[in-house]
This record gives sequence, C-alpha cells and structure tokens, in this order.
Amino acid sequence: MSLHLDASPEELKIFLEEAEEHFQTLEEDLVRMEKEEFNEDLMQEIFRASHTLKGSSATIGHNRMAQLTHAMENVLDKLRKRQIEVTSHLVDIFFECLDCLRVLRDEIINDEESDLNLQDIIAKLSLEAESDAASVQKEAETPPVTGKAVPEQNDGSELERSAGSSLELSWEEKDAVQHGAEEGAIPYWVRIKFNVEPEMAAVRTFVTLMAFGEIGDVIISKPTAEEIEQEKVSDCLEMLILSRAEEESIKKLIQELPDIEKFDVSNYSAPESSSGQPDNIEAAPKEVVAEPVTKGENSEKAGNGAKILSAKKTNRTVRVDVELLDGLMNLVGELVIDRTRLFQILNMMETEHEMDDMSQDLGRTSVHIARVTTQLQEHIMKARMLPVENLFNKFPRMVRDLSQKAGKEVDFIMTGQETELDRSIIEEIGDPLIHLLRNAVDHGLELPEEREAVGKNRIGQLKLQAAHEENHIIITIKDDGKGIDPEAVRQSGIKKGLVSEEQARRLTDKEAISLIFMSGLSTVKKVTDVSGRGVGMDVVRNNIEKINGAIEINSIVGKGTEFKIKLPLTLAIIRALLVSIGEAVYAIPLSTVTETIRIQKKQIEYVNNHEVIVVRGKALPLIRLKTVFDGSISEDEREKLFIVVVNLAGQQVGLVVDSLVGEQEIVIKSLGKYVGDVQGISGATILGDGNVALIVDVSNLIKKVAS
Amino acid sequence: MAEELMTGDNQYVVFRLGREVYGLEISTVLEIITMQTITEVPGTEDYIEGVINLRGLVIPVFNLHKKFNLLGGEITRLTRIVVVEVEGSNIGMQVDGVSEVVRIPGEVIEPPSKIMNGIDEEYLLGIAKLEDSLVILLDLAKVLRKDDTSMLDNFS
Repeated sequence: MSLHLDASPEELKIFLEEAEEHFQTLEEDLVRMEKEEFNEDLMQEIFRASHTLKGSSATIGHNRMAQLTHAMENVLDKLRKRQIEVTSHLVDIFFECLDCLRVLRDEIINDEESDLNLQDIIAKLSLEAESDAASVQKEAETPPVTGKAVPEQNDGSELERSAGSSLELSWEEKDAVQHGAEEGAIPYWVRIKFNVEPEMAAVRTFVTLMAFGEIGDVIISKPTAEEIEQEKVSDCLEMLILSRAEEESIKKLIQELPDIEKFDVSNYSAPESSSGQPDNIEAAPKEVVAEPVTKGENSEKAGNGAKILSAKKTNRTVRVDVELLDGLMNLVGELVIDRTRLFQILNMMETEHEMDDMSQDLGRTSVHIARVTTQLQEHIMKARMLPVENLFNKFPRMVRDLSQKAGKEVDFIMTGQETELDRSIIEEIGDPLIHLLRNAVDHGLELPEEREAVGKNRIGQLKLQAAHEENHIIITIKDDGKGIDPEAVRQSGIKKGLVSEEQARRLTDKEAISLIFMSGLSTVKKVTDVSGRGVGMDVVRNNIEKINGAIEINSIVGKGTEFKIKLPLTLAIIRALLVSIGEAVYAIPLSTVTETIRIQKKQIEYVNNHEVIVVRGKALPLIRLKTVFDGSISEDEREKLFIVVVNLAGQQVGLVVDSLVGEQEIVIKSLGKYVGDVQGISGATILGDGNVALIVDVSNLIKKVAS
Repeated sequence: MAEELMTGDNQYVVFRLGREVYGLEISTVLEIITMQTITEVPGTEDYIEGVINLRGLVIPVFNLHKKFNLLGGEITRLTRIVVVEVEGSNIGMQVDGVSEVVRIPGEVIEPPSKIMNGIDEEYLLGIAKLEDSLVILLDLAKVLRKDDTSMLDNFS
C-alpha cells in the first residue's frame, strides 16, 4: 500500500535529509544520555530532535511517524523534567524507537507502507511515561510543550482588541509591502486563533503558515517560522501577507484549515499607522514579541515556511550531485596529465632553442598553469571530502549494543571525527571498521571479572581515532584487552599449513601476528578463540588494500591490540613511483613503497629455489616483474639491479625492475571490462608523454609470493 | 537482427584485413585514428594488443588478425585503429586500412555461408555483394561478446 503524503517531492527530499540529521542526533545523544550525568542541554537537544520530527512528519502527513514521535516526546519530556530517571532499559526502548523511525522513513523512500506494528513500542513508551503516575496527573494540567508560557484564556475579544497591528515592520518589510502593492498585491493582516491541543500547536501553526505561503508572500508573522521551529508558540498566529487573492478567498482558505477557532482578516493600511506596541497580544509571551524584527531578512524573502526553516542551514553551502564532483575530478585528472606533458615539451623547447624568449615565456606560463592545476586539484578534492563523523556516528550505539550483548563494560572513545576523507573512501571503509570494532568488543576486551582478576580496570577501553598525517589519513582502533599471542598464531599457522615450522620459527612476533590477515587462518574457529580475532580479517585487509590503503597490527599479550589503517586522501589521484621494465613503464603506488635499493647481481641468494637478498640482516624475497609480466625467465644480464621494496600488512617483498624513472602523481584509470582482471595489474594511467603505463597491483603480487 | 538489415539501406565503414574486405555499421564507429603507441597488457588474450590513450581514456585495442586467425597484420603506413562503442565501452580495432564509407542496400546482403575460411560465421551479420567486391559485415557485439566469456574462463 502506498503512502498518501501531503507533500511535494521537493518537500519530501528536504524532510528526508532533515530526518536523517535528527536520527543521527538522537543516536549520538541517546548513547551520551545513558553514559553521562543528567545534562539539561543534552535532554533539550534530544527532546527538540524528537519534537521537530513530530512536527515535520505531521506536516507531510506521515501520521504513523507523528504518532510514534509523539509518544517518544511524552517520555522525553518527563526525562527532561527529571520526573523519571534514565535507565538502560529506557535507552533500549528509545533505540528501538529509532529503528522504527528509520523503517517509517524508508516507507517514504519506497512510497510503501511497511508492516511495522507500532502498538508494542508505543505501549512500552506510555508505560514508561506513566511510571511516575503522580506526576502524570500534575503534568496533564500544565501541557508539556516547551515550558514556555501558553495563553490561558484567550478569547475572541482579545482577537478583536488587537485589531491594529501588533507587529513592527522593519524598513525592508515596509519596502516589500510597498513593492507588492505597486504590483497589485494586497497586504492583509490575518489573525488566527487555534483550538488545538498545546502539543500540536506548533505543528498547526506551521501548517497554517505554509498554507498561506501558497496564496501569497508572508511578509512577517508572529510567531515567525523560526520561533515555531523552536516551539515558541501560543495558540495565536498573526501575520502580514501580500496576496493577489480576494479577501473572501483568503477567508475561505482559513475556513478550510482544521482546528481554527476564530480568525480575522483585514486590509492592512499604510505602514506608518502601525502602532508598534510590542505587547498587544497579552497572551503571547514577551520574548516572542520582541523578535520578529530581527528576523526580518529571513521572513522577507521566504515565500513559504519551509524555505525559512532551511535558509539558516544552507546559506553558505550548495548541494551538489556526486556525479558532478566525479566529473570535475576526472577533468582535473586530465589537467594533471597535461601539466606533466607541458613540462616535457618545455624541456624539449629549452634544449632545442636554448633559452630564447619564447621558451622562457612558455616556461613562465607552464609554471603558472602547474600551480593553478595543483590548487584546482586540491580544491576539488576538498569538495569531495566529508568528515569521518558521518561514518563514526553510528559506532557508539553499535559498540554499546555489542558490549551489552557480550556482557562487557566498554568505554568507547572517539577522536578526530572532524578529519576529512574522500566520500568514496568513507563508503568503502565502513565495513572494515565495523568488523574491527566488533572483534575488539567480542574477542579483544575481556569480561569485567577477568579484567579485575588481572588487575585491570573492569571497564575496557576502546579507542577509535582518525588523524591526518602527511598525505594520508590514519585511522586507529585500539583496545586494552588481552592482545594476540603470537605463539598461538604461529602454532595454528603451522597446523593450517600456511607456514612451515621452520618459517614460523623465523617470523618475528609482529610478522606472526600479521598471519591473522591470511585467509586460511582467520576463518578457522579455533584460532579465533586463541587469538581473539574473528572471521574475515583477510576480507578486511582486502577491502582496505582495494582503495590503496594499508593495515598494520600491533599487539601485546595482556596489554591490548592496535590496528592502524593508512588511507589515501583520494582514490582517483595517487603518487606513484614509475619504473621501467624493458621498454614498458609501470607505476607502483608510492603508499606501498618502503625504499629502493641498488644491488649487485651476485648479492642474490637462493632459498628453496626462490631468489632472496639479505637487507639489514633479513631475507627479502624477490619478484622479477619482468618474469611476472613477460612470462620470460630470461636471465637478466645486468650486473646491477634495482629493487623496489614494497610493504603491505607487514609483509615485505622486493620487486626487481630495470630502472627507476621517477616519482609522479598519476590518475588511476580502469582497464575496462573487455580487458578484464589482469594478474598483478590494478589499472592504468596516462603519462606525460601520452603513453599508457600500467599500475602494479602490489597486494596481488605479495599474495603470489605468500602462496 | 539480420532480417532487419535485409530491408533497409545502411551505411558501413569498409576496411581491409589481409586480403579481405570487412564492413562495420557506421553507427557503431566513433572514429578512425592512425596507429598509436600501444601499451601491452601482460597476461591477456593474444588478440588484445594492449591499451592506448584516446584523449585521456584508456581503451583496449583488439587485433582482428589474431582474433580471426588471418595472415599478415604487419603494421604499415596504412594501419588504422577503428574506435567503436559497444555497450558503453570504447574499443579500438587494429585494421590494415580503411577505404571508404559505403551505402549497402539490404537486398544485396546475404546470410553468411560456411565457405568463409577462418572467421567463425557467428561473428557475421552477412556478406554484401557489391559490383566489384564482397564485403564481410561484422556483428560487433558478437565479436566482442565471445571474448567476454573466454576471458572469464581465463581469469577465474
């Protein structure tokens, strides 16, 4: 069954975006509410989020959502007034509400009513709300809207009495009225008194204001749209509108609106006649009256209430389609390539014509273009960035739920939420992070009793940290749990046949622990128990390496485990080391390169028929890229070899290349589906001379060595 | 699809591969460029010569000689790359020379016969008998689609 909502697609879009914001606020704040001492600001924030949701869902006609938020609000109001206490059970209920709200939100997206039954949850809520029966009685008398004064007995006579204007107009507004009048619109004073429950007053006022937005321009209103949003409402609405409609049709419009007790429409005459008495409607609270003028610039422009509401948030930003950003990024990629090309041409010019005027001119221009291109690239990269906050926000609740289920006490600390990452990376990194966090809670941290037994604080610490480091983002997940025993990993590695006993013995502890990233090992249940790490660490690593990131693990038995994830700032452009193999140039992502070394051919030794060299006392397996890519096993005749040492997840391999070409920013291009996946190649890029270079897939090569 | 072609006139880009003359429907052809430096991609099918840079796009180049098991295929001054668009991807096809664009009436196109040596008949739309020559009309989608599956076999 489809929903019958009373809103345009535009309005729905705004609603959905705002709803998501409120959901996130609720999610974060509920976790805080449970953890922290009573905090009035926090309570207000939660209340406001829920209340705004109620108002806006009622406005678009999503009754079920309004119903649920209304029930939530009743409980929240009690909490806010400290009539009931925060309990973990109560927070659970609220989280359940949040899940329901998301389902209800999805109903809008799918335009289909879900089979979600709200009876249960609403019943739970009202049970909570009535847990303090005595105060409920009392509460019923003083409506729980906002604690702001609500008019006691506002009858028609007062409506008449304020027949003048109670609103003072700023000169801009007067100007607008005059302007409108010149164009044939008639200014009307409209005064409306509602007959509505106080809880719904704000919603009703808002809907009414919106309705007027459709037949004319609302020049000024009391309360203003902003005040309505903040709940500063009474049961009266007064406004000055400019409309081409007849007085009669305005009256008719009002009559069609629900919950209206009385109204009055009159022609508005010259602005000068405005008496300017701020307290004409005595029923309205004072603070409301004082405000309309200062909000003048908002109400002046806004044709309807929705615009007024969003104006504040969007004043300095523009929503842009991600595709447009992708397109821009591609274009900048082209420029980056041409920039390199330009310098090559310049070099040729300078050698051929020495330093004549023309090549000097070209030189200056090239330098400028290079600088502008770099800046353009930086700006567009920034435009694609989002704070990791968007991703991190859902974690506190996840950790809370997990730790409750596992019977553990966890102090979850997040830092660096403001760190920015390319949005495509944020999309990719979510799952690996969830996995690592879950592992930390499930297996890393011990039960409170176990912790106390070894002299640790019974509350385990779990830290999630994001930070900017040079050209990378480092995300760290650190727990102070039991850590991973390298000996246990060695043993199970041997048992699973991943390493020989001999190999296992030679592994450093760090290398041994890194074995958990290997696919055979991490999926074995037994190892999970011993090492304390769950299923699918290889998947975690693969996902991270897919986006040119790297993951590293440090663990000390008894002290805890730390995962360090190194991520590039962007996916599209990376720094790479260009190397040549025969005629061909290949690009190796610089993020994987540790060092380059030059060796004599005779330094190569053989272990198990594999070529290795000894670097600083450690054997480094070699891969000849020529052999991998040509298939030829031709003995290299050169006496001197270049080795590019690459490192991924603690594993080091030396790539043998013919020569080093240089370091450069490259734009990653896909080889396309007709070429398909190629062993050892992750993509292609275009060099300054216009030729195509292939990008070496380091993780793929390392895996090859490992197997 | 062959039936449809029988009825109307269609324009074809006509090119040479060895001694034979082939035609591709003009709507599939994006452009014809001179030979480029081709970067070999290791570990791919024999008939994929490699990739080239087409104004910032990296596109694969197919060698139809190897694909159809034809003789010759040396690169000469006349060698061209015909860039086609198939299912949203751009692909280059290395040919021995592009001669012209001709309009071929549907009635002169005959279904492919088995006499054609080398080329699998399923790659063909038909054979057009023109006054002085025979033009083999290729069904591009099929030429490339077959690769797709064999590629998957190779890499899985």
